[in-house]
Amino acid sequence: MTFIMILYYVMTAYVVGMLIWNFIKTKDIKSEILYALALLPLILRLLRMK
Amino acid sequence: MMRKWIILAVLLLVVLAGGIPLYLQRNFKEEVVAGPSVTDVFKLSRYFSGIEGTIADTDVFELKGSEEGGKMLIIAGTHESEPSAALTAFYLIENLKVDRGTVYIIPHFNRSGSLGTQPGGGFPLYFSMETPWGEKTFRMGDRGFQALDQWPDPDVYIHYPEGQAMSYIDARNTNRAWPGRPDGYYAEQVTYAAMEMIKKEKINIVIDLHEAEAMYPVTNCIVVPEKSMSYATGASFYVKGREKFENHVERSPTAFRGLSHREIGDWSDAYPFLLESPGVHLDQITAAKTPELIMDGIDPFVLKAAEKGLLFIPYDENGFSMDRRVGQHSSVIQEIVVQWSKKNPERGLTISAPKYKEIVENGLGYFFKDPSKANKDDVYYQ
Repeated sequence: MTFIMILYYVMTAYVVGMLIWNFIKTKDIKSEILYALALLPLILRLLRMK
Repeated sequence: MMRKWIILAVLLLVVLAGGIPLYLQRNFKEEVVAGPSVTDVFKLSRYFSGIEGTIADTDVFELKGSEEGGKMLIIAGTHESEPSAALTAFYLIENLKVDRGTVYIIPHFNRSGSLGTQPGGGFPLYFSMETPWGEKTFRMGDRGFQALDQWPDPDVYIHYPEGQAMSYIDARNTNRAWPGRPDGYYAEQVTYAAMEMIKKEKINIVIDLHEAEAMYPVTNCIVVPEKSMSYATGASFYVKGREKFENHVERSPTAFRGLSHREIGDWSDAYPFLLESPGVHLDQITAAKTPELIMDGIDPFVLKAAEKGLLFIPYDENGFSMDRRVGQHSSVIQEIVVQWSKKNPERGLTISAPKYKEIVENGLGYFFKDPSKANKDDVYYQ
């Protein structure tokens, strides 16, 4: 794994953290669903599934 | 709060439902039984240690005849979404008899690409075929390296050493990365390793196996540079005359860089040949991309296109089956070897395996051996 690739995984983990934080904070159901949908591909990448 | 937990539970379910099949496919092993001519199996990293232990490293099967002669390298799985290539490699590993010379076969040149399908392409994860001893299953792969293994993509891929600007996606394409470099992308490293092999082993013939869309003109053909032209033309004539199938010759463009049929010929003494068979599952217009479509090549929309004269292959309601595609590859490879050996007797090869007619009559599955009944040392996992 190259250094740049590791950096991209770190950035992905950071974005996942931010999305989860926003998901917890928001009270709007549409935003909750939006954050959950945005999390999906990022989690799959972090777990090295796709 | 309860609402958030419900949304998270649904997200988790979707992650598991989508992710677990992908994870299982990535770890699914295809079985190949080494045939009577296989003398050694080793890693491509033998020729470039930089890929050792990485996803770019891959198995090389050596089939050596009892008599010294020329050398041929057969590369399959350059584009892993073109499965008749890897199936031809498996078929040859199990069935090819080599009496003179040496044949090297790489079934999954782009191993990373073989471990997952094309994102958004709607392709199945697996496809299977019937054999006399049961069903044999294979992974359906992607055209390039998986983003899991080579990430991120550049904005523009700059070919080395020519400097030609290409699509960003071609940074993961092992047929835009020739002749490769030791410190480049994985796709460049694996082609570099293969170039090192071609030079060190003094390979005479390099065959790169592919499939192409029925609506694309460079299909059902042999693509060659100038120096391979006479051999390809001879092979094309003979398969048409003797075996009654069309396989025309296409000239390799000189200004389009990175392709095996261009760079291998330019950067080594080897004679490259890129073989295309028609894989209609690759056409954009097809119905659902099912395992059956991959195997039998029957599609109503492609048939409609054929009726309107939009295809570059002969096509009817019988489709273009895997048996025909692998059969064509087998026959064309053997005919290229005959043509080569006639003109270069001191570096000739003598090889044999069932050809087009026999494969179509019996079905490809007939020729695969049962791994559960084979000697365990002869079974290799890909």
